[in-house]
Amino acid sequence: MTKRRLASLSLAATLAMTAVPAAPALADGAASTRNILIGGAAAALLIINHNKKVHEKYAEYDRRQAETQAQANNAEAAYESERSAYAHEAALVSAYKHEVAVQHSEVMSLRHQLAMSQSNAKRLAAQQTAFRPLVADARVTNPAPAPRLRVANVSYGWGTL
Amino acid sequence: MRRAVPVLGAVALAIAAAACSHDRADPQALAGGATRGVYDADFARTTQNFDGALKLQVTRQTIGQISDKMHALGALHDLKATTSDPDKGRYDYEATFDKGAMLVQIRIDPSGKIGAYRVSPVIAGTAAR
Repeated sequence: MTKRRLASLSLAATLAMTAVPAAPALADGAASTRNILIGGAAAALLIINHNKKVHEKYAEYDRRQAETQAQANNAEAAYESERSAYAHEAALVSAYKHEVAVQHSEVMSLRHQLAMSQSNAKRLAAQQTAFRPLVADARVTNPAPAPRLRVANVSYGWGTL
Repeated sequence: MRRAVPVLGAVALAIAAAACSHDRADPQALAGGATRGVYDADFARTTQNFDGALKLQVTRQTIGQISDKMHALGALHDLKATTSDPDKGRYDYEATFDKGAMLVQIRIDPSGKIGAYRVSPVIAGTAAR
């Protein structure tokens, strides 16, 4: 079997096929219409699906945007809240400072009064010592000799011994 | 010149004596004089030997009040020394009266003047007789 023989046989077979009469084409209108409708519906479904996906994408985008916006709003609100809290804390600290200053002033005043009262007490004690019955002074300053005289608990005169 | 030496010496001695006069002040005489002045309600005699600060405290009214208390005991006789503390200028005397006694206490300051004068009634029965 040479190449030429094979080419000749294939050519002859081809010619023989062309000699056989072809079957007539079927012209079914209902089926065609049905096929067209099915194709249109399929195309519509495809388009609808496409649109649906597109809308889903946009919806997702919008939702994320909304979330982001909400987060931003929350952050801003949180910032405002923190700022307000800080302002309140600062005011509270200022109030505490003022209170401490007032208490410090009061403590100093009380200390002054205490010092004055102690000073007055010392002065009073000194005065009481100065006006103490003279016999007692004599006993303290010169305790060795026992006093022979019992004197009344009063004295008259001038100056302090 | 030889006559001037004794004179100068005498002057120096007089100055020294004056400077030390407070040491020589007789406390009993001072107390007696003041007590007699009070008894007599004599302001001048009472304050004669008081120092300046003490004189400012004395009034005729207070002298009269003390004098009344002394007169309530009768006539004043004398003062007897009881205790003393010369280092502090403190001297105590018992002034005797007809019907009792009083304790007289004085403090003599470094100038030789009386810096304090006080009297206290003596409880009956304890006076030295």
